[in-house]
Amino acid sequence: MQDIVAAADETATTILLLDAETALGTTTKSGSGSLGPFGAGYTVAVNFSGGTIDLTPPNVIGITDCNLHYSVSLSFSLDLNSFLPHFCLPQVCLFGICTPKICISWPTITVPFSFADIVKFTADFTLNPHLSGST
Amino acid sequence: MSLTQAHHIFAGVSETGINSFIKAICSARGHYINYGSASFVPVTTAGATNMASIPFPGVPGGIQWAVSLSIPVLDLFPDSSGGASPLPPVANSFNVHTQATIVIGCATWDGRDKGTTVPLKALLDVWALGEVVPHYSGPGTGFVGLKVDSVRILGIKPSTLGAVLECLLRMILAAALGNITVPFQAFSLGAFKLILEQGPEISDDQVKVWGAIS
Repeated sequence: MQDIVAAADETATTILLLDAETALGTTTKSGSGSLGPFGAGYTVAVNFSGGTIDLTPPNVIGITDCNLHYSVSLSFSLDLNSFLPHFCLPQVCLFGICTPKICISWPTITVPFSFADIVKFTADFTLNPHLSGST
Repeated sequence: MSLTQAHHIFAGVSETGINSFIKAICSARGHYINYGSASFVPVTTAGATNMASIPFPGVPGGIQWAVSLSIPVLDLFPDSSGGASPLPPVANSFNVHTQATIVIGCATWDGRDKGTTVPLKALLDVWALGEVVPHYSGPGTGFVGLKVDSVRILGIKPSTLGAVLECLLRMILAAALGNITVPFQAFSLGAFKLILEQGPEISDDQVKVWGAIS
């Protein structure tokens, strides 16, 4: 006989699923890179919500109608200063009073792109326990 | 019939699991089952608890004593002793078997001379009957404890002395087992709050609880 036996029905495991989704929260990943005058960045966010559990003998745990919320944000930038000549107004002195040298920088052009959607999925899983110690 | 029956959660702990738990606790914390006054337990350690001697007028330093229990072994209903237990468990109860060692410092003295103290030991085979009691104060809050109802010691004459020793050891065993409780968080592993709806019940050599989660 086993030392401990625990059992949960579909209602209880569905509550556990929803609790796990809340505990997991939103997972985000972001990064950026550049190559010469070109730059790019991205942000990806993912979270889960909803779904119900179907327990099927002998060991299948089915998740039905779980929502995968995702959003992707991309941005591309181009630094015009890298290849366009700079405009500078020369210093002018008049009666001992000099104006500062004024240079005009070209702007960096950024093109953002965002997309978000929901994927509703249904999947079957089996538990795969791993014993991490002997006792 | 499913394990959860009309509820959403079921948990059952077998007597082998409970005995492993008790053995682990009593091995690591022997002070729960070993007690004695200064002559036998000079200071409280993890293995034994220092207690005061029994004061008695004229006895130098009081009466020295010690009580030690072997690691208790639980037998959940139905009876697994094969008829050996004088207190077989009935429905929703458990049997406890332990050996109690009672030691008295048998002192002799003369006036101011403190004399000598010789330890005298008695080994008693103790059988007890008890029940599992829930202490539930709300979802996820509370614990399951062990309650000793009666004790039987065989072969003590006269019977009145047997009754005195049985009462004494019932109090000692109840106090020792009172230190062993299983909180509801142990069932939930911190992932949810257990709402106790039925149990604990003792049957099929297991302690069983049913409930829901929130």
